Amino acid sequence: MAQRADLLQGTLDLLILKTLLLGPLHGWAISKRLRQLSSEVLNVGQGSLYPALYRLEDKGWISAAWGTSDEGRRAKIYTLTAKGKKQLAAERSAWRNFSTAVNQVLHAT
Amino acid sequence: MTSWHSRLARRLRALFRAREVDRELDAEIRLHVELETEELMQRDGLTREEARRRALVAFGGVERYRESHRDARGVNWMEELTRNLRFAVRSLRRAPAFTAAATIVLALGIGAAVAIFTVIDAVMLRPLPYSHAERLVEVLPGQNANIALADALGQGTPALAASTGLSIWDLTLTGQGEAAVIETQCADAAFFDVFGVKPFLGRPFRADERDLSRSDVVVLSYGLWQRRFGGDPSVIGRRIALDGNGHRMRTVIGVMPRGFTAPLAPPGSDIEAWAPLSRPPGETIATDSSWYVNHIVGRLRAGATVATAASQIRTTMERLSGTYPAYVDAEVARTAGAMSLLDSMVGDVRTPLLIMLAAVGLVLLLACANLANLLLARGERRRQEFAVRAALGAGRRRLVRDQLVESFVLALVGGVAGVVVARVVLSAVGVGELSGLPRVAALSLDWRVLVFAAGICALCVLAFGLLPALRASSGELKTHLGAGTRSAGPTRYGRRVGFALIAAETAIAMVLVTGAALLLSSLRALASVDPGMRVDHVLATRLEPPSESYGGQRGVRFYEELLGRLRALPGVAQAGAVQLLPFTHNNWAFPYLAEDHAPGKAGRLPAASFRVVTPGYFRAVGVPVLRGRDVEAGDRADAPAVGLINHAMAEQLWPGERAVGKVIRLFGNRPFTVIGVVGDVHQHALRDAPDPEMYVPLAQFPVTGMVVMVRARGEPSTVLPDVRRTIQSVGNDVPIADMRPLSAVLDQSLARERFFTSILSFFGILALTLGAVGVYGVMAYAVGARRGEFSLRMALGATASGVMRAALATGLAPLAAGLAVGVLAAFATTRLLAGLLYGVGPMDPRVVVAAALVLIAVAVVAIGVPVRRAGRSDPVQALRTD
Repeated sequence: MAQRADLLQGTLDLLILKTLLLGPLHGWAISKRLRQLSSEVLNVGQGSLYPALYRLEDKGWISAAWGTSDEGRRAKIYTLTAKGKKQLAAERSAWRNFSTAVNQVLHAT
Repeated sequence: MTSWHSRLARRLRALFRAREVDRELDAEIRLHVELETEELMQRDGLTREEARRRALVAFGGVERYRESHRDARGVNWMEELTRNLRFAVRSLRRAPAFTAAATIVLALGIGAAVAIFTVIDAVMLRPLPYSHAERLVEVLPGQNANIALADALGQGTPALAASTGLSIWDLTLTGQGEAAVIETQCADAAFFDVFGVKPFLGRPFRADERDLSRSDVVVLSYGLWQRRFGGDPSVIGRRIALDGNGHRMRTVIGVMPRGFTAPLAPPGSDIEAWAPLSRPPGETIATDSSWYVNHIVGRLRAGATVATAASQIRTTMERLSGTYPAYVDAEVARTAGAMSLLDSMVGDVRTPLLIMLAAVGLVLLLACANLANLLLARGERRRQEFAVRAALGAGRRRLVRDQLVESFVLALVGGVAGVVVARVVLSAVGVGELSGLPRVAALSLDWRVLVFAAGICALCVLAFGLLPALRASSGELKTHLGAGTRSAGPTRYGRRVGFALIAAETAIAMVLVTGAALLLSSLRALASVDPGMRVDHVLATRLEPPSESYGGQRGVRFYEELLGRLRALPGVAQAGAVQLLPFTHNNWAFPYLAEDHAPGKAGRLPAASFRVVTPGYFRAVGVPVLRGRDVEAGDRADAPAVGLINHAMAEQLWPGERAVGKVIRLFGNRPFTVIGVVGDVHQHALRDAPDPEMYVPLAQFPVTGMVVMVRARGEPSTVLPDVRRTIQSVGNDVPIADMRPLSAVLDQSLARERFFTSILSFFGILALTLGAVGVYGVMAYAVGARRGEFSLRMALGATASGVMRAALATGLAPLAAGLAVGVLAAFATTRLLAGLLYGVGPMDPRVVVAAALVLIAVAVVAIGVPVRRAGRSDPVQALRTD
């Protein structure tokens, strides 16, 4: 159970970081962008989005500040930090290795 | 960017400003839901209500989300801790008897440990109150040193930046209110550099004030300056009548800073002035006839070590023994050295103090064992509860944690109570006077003590909490769901632990009781040593008349008149005087040359203790004149010089011969004829063998300060007012330095032994009590839990005594094992006590057997009560209850 959660969590982290690579966003915009980027396949449970954001902020991978959104509302806007970019690169290669490995296993026979 | 401290700041914000953080979170959620609603309305053409409902559904439970968010914030463990604490407090309050018992046991154990540690802290751990005190060393020449030798040692030791000799004189202050004795420390000009102190007012000594003709100066303590001189700064430069050590008047040149404590002051003394060590100029080690210094203290140069200083001192002493072979013994010179000042001050009490700490550690261990037992029993009773909670989904970790938190709360309460107990005990008991220990005048609970107390509490939690916690939540909890409220008996595990506890407690108690018994019998042996005088009914009064009016024969006439008047008092049987109080470490030792004996090599003379007495002294204190006659009124200054020696000296000088009539030359040149031999007295300490001693009449060796001994017909206190009045009427300018029954002086000499003995005895009693309670607890529980079995047996025809035998057997086996281990452990550890013991060996079989018997007696009661209860089990009643 714990392992499964970790995998999901790690994946979600990776996706959030990837989303923010394109520019600062607030929470709802992140969830929307995730949906768009994955062609509506990945509907991130929104309940787990905000804890993930908090966790990433705690790790110093993203930073948050209150500002005004594109819609002209007060919102908490998240930005990728330099540390976060480094982490993203690391996680991407880790993910690539992992998915390559899974593919190899799946196509072995 | 997000370093650990900004992360910590975020955590703290989340914890302490949770409201604010929650508000921000709400705002974020609200925005999210609103935007989602608008999107749904736009994209799918839904009504606002429907869109909002879907947005909320998509988001999931807001409350659940908030919780998981808080978890991510790392707040929950803190909240949970508070919740656990509250839970623990509640569950402890539900069991008041258990909680009270546990708190008392812990408070006693922790209190004793904290009290002992406070004393150790004050004596051994706190730095001396001088700047860079770690650089202070005591120079140990290995022999008595006069000022010239002290100087030579200081100069011959490059590792020392400065050094000073120290000695203590009683000076008499007159002309400032009531005449008073001022204990004065004499030191060199370097004293101020050595101890890193500057006078608060005025100046330190100058080097030329070493010269006898210029040494009539004094630096006052802040307290004396305030008390006797009203804190008047114009006292600097004033001449005051401060008589003694070569001067009648002295010029006040300074006042010491407030709170400056005199170094190396003997326990119980109160140094209130500093004067220069002085001697006539131009004297060498051989010709310096100044008094010996008591101590030589130096300050190490930066980078120098005690070891370098020690080897330099040894080299200097060896060189001096070549130059002055009659004064510096080459053999003794090889033992010369140095020691850090703190070590030299506390060296002889370190071992006993550490033994006390070890003993208190054992007591604490016993307390923990008892608590573990209580918790185990409580855990057994609560297994039902744990089983239910486990069935409802509480994890094992959770159960262990709850138990540990409960132990933690207990330890905290016990610890606080223990610190309070320690405080109360230390302030109620005058440790300073009782113990005779150095540096215990102002005991306080400083941060070191509190850290120690906290550490002890933490250790206690682990020691008594972990096992029961793991146990209570372990394994076969499910079986307990099925079992009735009354199970068949304690599990095998519970029984094993219980009996291991009996064995352990017996072993620990055995060690402590043996140690206490050894010290007690040693103290008894010491107290039964015949001191050589009859101390009961004797009042000892130390007088320090100023030498200006009582020098030479005037003092002799004063004491003659005073003693005559005292003997005429109705309640007084006899009176006499001696210049030194017995049973203290005050001593005068003079070189002498005895008839029929030749000087040692290089003209060295032996030395013997020397006392000045008046007629009537030996009768007043009950020292028998074994041969010849006592000092008499006729032994005046102009009569032939006479003296007495003690039995030890007579045996040493003229074994099997008649000592009376022989001649002894004091200093090799002042002859006196031995007129009598008196009994030996343990002048310094009861445990030391009597030294050879010489006694000469006051009229032929006038000194001003004497101790007047009055033998009363009743209690010494009854004559005290009369004695005081008589002294004032004979010499109203004579200050009384000290006035107490001689028996109190003798008692005081045993203070340290008595102190350590009473502490260890107290620990022994505590150990017996805790051990008995623990053994009783285990047995009562075991018997109580087996009542069903016993009843069944009796119903099947077993007799009460048979059942009792069965119960007894289960208790006696661990008791015997514990005793055996305890005896072995006692043999291994009591050796540490060897240095404290007198007249009893560390493995004295009588003591060990006595201790074991006491322990067995207590254990039999502790086991016997529950066993008797087993015998009374009612077969019908017990069977019915299940």
